[in-house]
Amino acid sequence: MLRTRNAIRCIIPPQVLDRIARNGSSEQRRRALDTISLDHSLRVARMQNAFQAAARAAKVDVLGMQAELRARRTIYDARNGDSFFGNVVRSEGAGPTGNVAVDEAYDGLGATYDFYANTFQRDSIDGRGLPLDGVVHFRQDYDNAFWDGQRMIFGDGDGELFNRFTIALDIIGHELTHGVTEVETGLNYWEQSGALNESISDTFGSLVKQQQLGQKADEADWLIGAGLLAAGVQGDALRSMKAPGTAYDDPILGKDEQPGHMNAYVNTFEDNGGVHTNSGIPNRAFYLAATAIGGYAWETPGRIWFSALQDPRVRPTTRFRGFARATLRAAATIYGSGSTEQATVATAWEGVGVNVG
Amino acid sequence: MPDGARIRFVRSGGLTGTRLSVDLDAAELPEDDVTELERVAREGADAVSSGSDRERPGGADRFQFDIEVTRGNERLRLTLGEDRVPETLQAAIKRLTDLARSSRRSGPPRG
Repeated sequence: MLRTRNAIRCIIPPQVLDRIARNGSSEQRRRALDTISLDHSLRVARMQNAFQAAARAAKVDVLGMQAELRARRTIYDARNGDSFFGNVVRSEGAGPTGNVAVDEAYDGLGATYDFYANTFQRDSIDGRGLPLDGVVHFRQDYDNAFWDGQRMIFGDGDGELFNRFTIALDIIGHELTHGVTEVETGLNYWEQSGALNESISDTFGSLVKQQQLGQKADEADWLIGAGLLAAGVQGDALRSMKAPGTAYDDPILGKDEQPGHMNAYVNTFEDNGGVHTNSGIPNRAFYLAATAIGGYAWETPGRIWFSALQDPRVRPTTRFRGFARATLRAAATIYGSGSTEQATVATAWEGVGVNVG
Repeated sequence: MPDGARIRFVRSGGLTGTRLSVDLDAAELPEDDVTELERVAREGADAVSSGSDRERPGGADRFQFDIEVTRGNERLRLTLGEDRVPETLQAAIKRLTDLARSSRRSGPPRG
C-alpha cells in the first residue's frame, strides 16, 4: 500500500488525484484521498521543519515561544517578622496552599507576568525572565505593600482601615510595574517625575486587572485598590483614575486628596513631594485617552503609554509635560502623525491641564 | 527627662498615600527615644535623602517619616525614609506610629 501511495504521489499530478477522489470507485476514491492527505501532511511537516530550522538558527524556539515565556514565582512567608527571606511556602507550579495571602500573591504575580508577556511580549519585569518573588505576612498589622527592587512585600493590613494587601490584583500589578519603570526609565521618586512613576504603576496595575476581567475601557471601574479598604471605611478604593479625589472620604482615614487637573496640583514635602497625590493628574489623562479611544485599554492607549515609557528621551527627571510629549511621539510612530489616536491623546493631556504644545 | 519638649510626627506615603500624624509631649516617649531623635536630627541625617538617593526607585511606596522636636526656641527636623531608618531609631518610629494610630482612632485626622 505504501509503495502504491508513494508511486502515485510521485507520478500523478494533484489535479488528477482530485478528479479520482471525486469520480472514482470507492476504493479509488479512498486511495486518492489517502494520498492527498499524506501529501498535505508531508507538506506541512516540511514547512514546520524548515521553520524550526530557521528558528534554531535564530536561537528562537518558535513553536515553544509561549512555553518559554512563563513566570517563575516563589512565595515566602515572613511569619509577621521583618525578614524578606522567610520560608518558601509556594513555588512555581505548586498547587494552592489554602493560605489566602500566599495564593493571592502567587496568582497576582502570575497574572501580572501574563499581562506583560501577552500584551508586550515582555519576559517578566526586566524583559529577561526575572524570577518573581513575593513575601507575605510581612510584619504585624503592616498597612503597606512595596517592590524593593528584587521582590514584592505584602503586609496583612491593620484590620481596621485596611485589609490584606494581596487582596487587589491592581496593587500587585502596580508594585511590579515599579520594577518595569526602574528598568526602562528610572523616573526619580520625587515630585512630578515621582508622580509619573506612580501613575505608570496605577495605569498598568489597572490594565492588569482589566485584562484579567476582560473589561473594555467603558466597563472598567478605574479604581485602584478596590477591596483593600476594610469594612466600615467610607470609600471605594485608594484612588480613582476616572475621578481623582473621590475614592474615599472617611472620618478616620481622611479624604482622598488627589487632584485631577494641574490647576489643583499639590505642592508638599510629604510623600516624596506628593507622588501619590499628584499622580491623579496623569492617571486621569490616561483614563480620558482610554475612554475616548474605546475598546480594550491595554491595546491602543496602553501600547502608547508603554512605548512612551521606553522612549530614550524620557529621563529620570522627566515631568508631566515631557512624558505627555513622549506619548504623542509614540502615537505618531505607531498610528501616524496626525492620526486620530495622536489627537485623542493630546486632548486627554489638555483635559488635565498639561500643555503639550 | 526632656522638660517641655514636644514632638510632631507625620507618616506619609506608602502605597496607600494616606497620612498618619500625632503631636505629643516628649514625655510620652522613653527618654532614650527622644535623645536619639534629637541626636540624629542635629547630625543632619536627612535619610529620605537628597540627590542620588531620591532617584532610587527601590524606595517606591515606602513610608516617609517627618519628625519635629521643639524644645523652647529650638526646633529640630528629621526626615527618614522607611528603608533608611537607623537601627537606633526603629523602636522609636514604631512607638510613634502606634501612638499616631491611637490618636487617629480617638479623633479626626489632622491636616
